[in-house]
Amino acid sequence: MSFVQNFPFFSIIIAMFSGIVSSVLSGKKARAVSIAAITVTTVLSAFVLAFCLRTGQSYTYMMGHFPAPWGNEIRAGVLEGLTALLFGVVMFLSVVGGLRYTEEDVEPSKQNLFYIMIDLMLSSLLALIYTNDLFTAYVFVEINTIAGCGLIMMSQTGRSLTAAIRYMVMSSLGSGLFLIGLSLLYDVSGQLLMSPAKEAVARIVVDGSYQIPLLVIVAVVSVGLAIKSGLFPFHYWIPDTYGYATPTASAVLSGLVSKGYIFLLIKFFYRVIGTENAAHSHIINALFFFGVAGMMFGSLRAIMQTDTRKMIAYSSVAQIGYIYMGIGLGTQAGMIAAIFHIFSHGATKALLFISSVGLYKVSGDRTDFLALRGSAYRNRLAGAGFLVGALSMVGFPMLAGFISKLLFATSAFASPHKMLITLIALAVSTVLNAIYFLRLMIGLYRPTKSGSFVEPAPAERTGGGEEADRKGRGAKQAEKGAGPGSGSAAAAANPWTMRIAIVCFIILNLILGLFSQPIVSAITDGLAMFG
Amino acid sequence: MYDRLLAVPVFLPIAAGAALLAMNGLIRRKKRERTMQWLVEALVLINSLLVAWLIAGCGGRSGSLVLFRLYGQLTVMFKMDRMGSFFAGLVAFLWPLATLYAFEYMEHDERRPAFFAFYTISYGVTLGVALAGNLVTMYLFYEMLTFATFPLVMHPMTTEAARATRQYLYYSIGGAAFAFIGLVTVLSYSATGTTGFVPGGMLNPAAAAEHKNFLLFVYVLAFFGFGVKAAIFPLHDWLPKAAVAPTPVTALLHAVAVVKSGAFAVLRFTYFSFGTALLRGTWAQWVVMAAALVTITYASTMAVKEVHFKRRLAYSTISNLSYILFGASMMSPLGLAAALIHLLAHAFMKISAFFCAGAVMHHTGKNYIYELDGMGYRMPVTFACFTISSLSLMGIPLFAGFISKWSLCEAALSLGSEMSGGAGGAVGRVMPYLGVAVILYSALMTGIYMLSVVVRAYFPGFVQQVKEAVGGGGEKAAAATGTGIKDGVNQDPSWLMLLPLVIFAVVIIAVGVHAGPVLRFLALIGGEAG
Repeated sequence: MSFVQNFPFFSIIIAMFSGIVSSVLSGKKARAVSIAAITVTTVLSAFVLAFCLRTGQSYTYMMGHFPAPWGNEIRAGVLEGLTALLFGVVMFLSVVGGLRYTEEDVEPSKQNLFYIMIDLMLSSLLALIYTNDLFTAYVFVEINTIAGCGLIMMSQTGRSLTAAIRYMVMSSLGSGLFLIGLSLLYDVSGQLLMSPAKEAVARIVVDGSYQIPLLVIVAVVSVGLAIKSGLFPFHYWIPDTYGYATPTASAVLSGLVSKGYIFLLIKFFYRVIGTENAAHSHIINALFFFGVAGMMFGSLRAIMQTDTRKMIAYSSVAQIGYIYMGIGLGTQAGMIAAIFHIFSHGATKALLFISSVGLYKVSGDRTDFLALRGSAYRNRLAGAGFLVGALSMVGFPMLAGFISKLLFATSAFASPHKMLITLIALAVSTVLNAIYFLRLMIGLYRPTKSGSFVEPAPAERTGGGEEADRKGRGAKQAEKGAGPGSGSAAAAANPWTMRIAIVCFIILNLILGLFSQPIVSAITDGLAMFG
Repeated sequence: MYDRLLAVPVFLPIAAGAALLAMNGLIRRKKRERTMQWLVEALVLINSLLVAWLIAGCGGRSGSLVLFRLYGQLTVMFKMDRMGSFFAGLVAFLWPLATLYAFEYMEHDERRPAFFAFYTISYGVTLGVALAGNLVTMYLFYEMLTFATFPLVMHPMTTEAARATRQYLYYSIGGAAFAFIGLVTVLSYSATGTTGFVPGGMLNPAAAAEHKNFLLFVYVLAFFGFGVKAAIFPLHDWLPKAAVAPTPVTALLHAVAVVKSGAFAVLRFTYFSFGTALLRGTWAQWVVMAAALVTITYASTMAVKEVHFKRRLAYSTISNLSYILFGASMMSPLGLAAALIHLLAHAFMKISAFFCAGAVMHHTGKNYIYELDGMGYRMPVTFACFTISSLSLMGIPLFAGFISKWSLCEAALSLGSEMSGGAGGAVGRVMPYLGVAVILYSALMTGIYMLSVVVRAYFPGFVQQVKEAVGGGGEKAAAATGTGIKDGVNQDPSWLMLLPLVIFAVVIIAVGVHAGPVLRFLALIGGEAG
């Protein structure tokens, strides 16, 4: 056995232990530990990916001394390695990009708690990716939920508390359904490890016995995970959650956490139920239907928003819809498209969350469209980041979103009944995406009401009624701020860590858009290893 | 070597524009701005010469260059075939002149570097559309064109401009989203697995015959998708609104580069991807033809109603673009050739008309047609050019517009006699003749909406007389007339604006008098692709 094969286990444990260690450290040290842990696990994931690509096959890794039907297993293949790597990169950039804001938004005494949550989140995500055991998956689903709750609450405003409670309730519902599904599966098959469970399911299907329980299992697990990932119509916890958390938390939650559950669902379909059985069940069609509905509804709600954060959050609802639409196509190609979109949306949405904060900071911490007018001139890098993210969402060629769209559209041709719906849904959704993202983007590049491009943000929050006062002050500041003052405002809003994060996110988007071929073929290989 | 150079004219302006944007902060002083402008002009000119050289060199060879692989079989590829070289040549001819014109027009503008940056980037992107060797590349540059040109529409930075930009973006991206369905379908049904342009289409005939109705539906979607940029009814509304942009933009982009890219994309898609064999005589052909005819009728009527000078010309553009689409929808060699000759003729006529309107606006601040009384004597050269362009737009013999309208009617009649055998059903028997009738109606309308401007400019008294005869409303005209002839002040713009105008007028007449070589070249394209 090669030493590299230990790495999946190492990375889960490293992340977990760094969380435990952080509980006795100060905020600054916890931060360093956390960033180090993310870096190390990302590097380890890269090694795992390279190893699996070289050997061309996946492997299972026995935990402890008990073999297959009783013990616990980890499994790693190309797809696991790739997902862990990309999740690690997005996580790293989200944490680094939001460093300054985490410092500002979270109480000093609770800084280390924030990073404990990040560590736990990382470890649970890695465990969801690597585990070969359904019950272990359940345990980490719960850890993930709790860590997610903690992350949301950290900004400690009233809104974020209600958002966290809402998240907790919905997530618990999802976990509960998932658990019921697992116990039913255990009842009919007697297995919780994925590979033996799959054999048992295959036997059941051949027997013709337990048809209905099997359908219920698929339904309950799908719905449970759909709730947790925020598929329409279970999405209503999303806008508050993503809207009121700290930037890092929003980026991680929308970019990664919901995707972790989807990855688990895909794994469940491939490794336990079997793709053909899943494709034959009507559950797939339901996922397809709600995916398409989510694409439309999420975008329509996003159009109605006037608050940037909520708009981005509703856009996530739409994007989750894309992913479920791909899964719902019930074909290999659809699944590849869905997985690619997991990556591309993770990279794009995190970029949007991080760069939009840079824009709020130069607009007096306000997030409504009017206040953000012209902010792309005040903070050019954040503006550019937002532009790239928005274009990728709209599916501009050469960016990640275009390849997603292309994969979805080409995969539609493999399932004739859903082809036309998919194609039209993609086109309509593109139009809707364009409407809300580009409307905001035009606003970002418009001068403010006083006609200035570089008017620095008002220093404190101003109410809507003090329009005249604000105008007067704006004009005054425009006078003195036209010169070097504006540059320093942008510099204050863009700490160097954030600059790095935005630039890296843009590069990541370009890589996904321009060099997608190796990534897609890795996904294809990984899915083949799943089977 | 030749093949590699194909990418240069596309990326040189894009790189130059990007560099200009990056250096935006450095160019503050007036003197530096002058240098910057002349550098831009030199660069655009060199680029155009390069394009000319590439076109001249392509006579025997058909060079192609695969730049990189976007995904799977989707490559970014440039190719210099006859049709591409035709459009590229047209664009390369117009751009340096339009840039020259923009110097004077933009002289009082505060944000000139940004303007010229995006103006130059658009040049490269338009050439990218022209030289694209496959559907993916064309789609890519088609999308890029939207994003390269919206800052130009946005340039005045007023609320109106922001609204127009928003509408422009929604329409264009929405259109591209539906064209995308066409792209993916072509990719899935392609005979070779790629999307490279092949004269006569490249769909797999067996698979295409099996799903014919689906393909026709997709064709209609993609026609309207690409047609958005060519302002087809009911997706035309962005174009008159976009007239808020500075005139060099309205003239070059919204009369030539952007809208013609839309028409060009429709032609490419129809004749080089789907192939006319699949489409001729089907319901899809009549649907798109009907859309084109409705647009012609609607827009030329609306133009008569419009009193804003630039917006009237914009409506005229909409109707003329649908002439091209009408040619495209004939699905015949003659139709393609006629569409292309109108593409050429309209480019010169309309850019010339817009430049005149821009010169008037820039030097006198007059935006509405009722303000133009007697202007023909104050700006003699400008209005002489405008008259030539008007006559040509109407389709008077000896001008380029006559040749193109004649070709269109000829193609329609030949299609009509072909369809009289019953190949296209009852609708097919009527449609081509209806098309001829619509063109004649539109010519009448063109006469009204263009000549009314000319008449106002040269015969201010006449307008007044008519008004008096009708009764009332003469005071304003009288006031305007008073300042008309008697001042005798020559308000013609400087040579920067006049040179392009005169050159365009000469070309319009030259094509009208001696159209043989152009027609022969276009017949070649029609012959290979129809």
